[in-house]
Amino acid sequence: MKEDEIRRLVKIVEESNIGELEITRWGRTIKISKGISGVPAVNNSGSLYHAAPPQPLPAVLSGQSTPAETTPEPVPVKTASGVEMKSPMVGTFYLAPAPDADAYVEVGKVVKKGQVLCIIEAMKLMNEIESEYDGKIVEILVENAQPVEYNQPLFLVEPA
Amino acid sequence: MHAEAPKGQGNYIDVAAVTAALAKQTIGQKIIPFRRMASTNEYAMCLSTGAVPDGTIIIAEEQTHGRGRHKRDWYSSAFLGLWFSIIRAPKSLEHITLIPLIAGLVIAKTLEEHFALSPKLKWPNDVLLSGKKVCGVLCESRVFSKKTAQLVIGIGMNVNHTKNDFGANIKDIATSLFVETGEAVDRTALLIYILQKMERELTRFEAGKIKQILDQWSRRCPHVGRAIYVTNNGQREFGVFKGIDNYGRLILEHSDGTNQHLAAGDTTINLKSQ
Repeated sequence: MKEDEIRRLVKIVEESNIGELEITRWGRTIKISKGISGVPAVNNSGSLYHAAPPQPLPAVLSGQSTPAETTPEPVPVKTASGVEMKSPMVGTFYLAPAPDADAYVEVGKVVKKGQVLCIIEAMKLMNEIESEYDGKIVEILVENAQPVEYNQPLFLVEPA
Repeated sequence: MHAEAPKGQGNYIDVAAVTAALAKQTIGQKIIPFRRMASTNEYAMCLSTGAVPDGTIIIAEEQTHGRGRHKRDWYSSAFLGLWFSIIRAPKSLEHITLIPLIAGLVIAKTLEEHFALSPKLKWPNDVLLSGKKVCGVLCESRVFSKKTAQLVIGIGMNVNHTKNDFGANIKDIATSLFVETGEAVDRTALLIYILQKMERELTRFEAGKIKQILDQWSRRCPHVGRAIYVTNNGQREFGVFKGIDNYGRLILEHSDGTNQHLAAGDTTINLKSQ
């Protein structure tokens, strides 16, 4: 997850009345929790990211009741929109046709329906998985060379 | 000992006889033959969807760039083997990963029934005679959606090779029907037999008889039930080969009792554990 995305999440936690937010993506878990001082602490699977500079503790967190007129900002589970492309079979997920070849797609790339997005190999059966949509790759949900299960989401695609 | 070329070398496969014999089934109704081409799988994968009828066969007397896994070369010399690809539209995709095992089973049954040989299967899809590879299977597919795909079942079989026909780099790991039986084989009759059996096995698979198929496959795999290790990307996983799951994955039981379902790797008997 990119630093600006984490900053955005930190801001969401700061401005909301939740104490902790945990998001798992790419097999990595990011946990943002409010410390005693009210400053969000970020745990990104061991990597240290600088959280936003300390802010005055928001009123809603100081033990006072939440004013009825303020609605807490909803916590997005996904930071991006799109449709999930799921794995049609079990196997190993490959983003390139061969170990030394370029990846078929990357995040942000515009793809056409029928364009190959990845290979899933299982029992030496090589499956070229084609895009079901014209659109943009918003997120790649599996890391290269990782096993995938039947129906596991592989890509988040924003249809054109 | 086998310096003399077997009878049949230089003769083409009789394509008309094959199509006539297979007139009543889907597989092999149409055959596109080549004297020589790079790779029958590559050609089949390049065809547009619907360009040829379901069950079409691409066959070559010689492949100059026969393909193995991860585009490794497969040695396919002129007139000596069967190098062909079957184009198939699978009925569903969820269990499509069993097809490589089914292809291996088809070849094993053919060798048993046609030649009274005792082939062994090596997960996922190698067919061995006397511990050496006689047939390789390379399946590929293009998946258009969660439900539709075009599948190519590529089969490379060493038939009338003498020992001298194998290069120094593979002569210890490859064998042929001629080497094993001492007799030249009619490749046309063999191809007909394989394609008939393939049609029957795929029909059985599509009817959902997965357990039956897995039982028959496991009986021919000497690694099942043994302590093995599976090598994949330079890493080894140790355990007991418990069996095959419904997707064709190898179930490896670790010493702590947990099971791992593997979709890739090379299996080896772990002699230290015997």
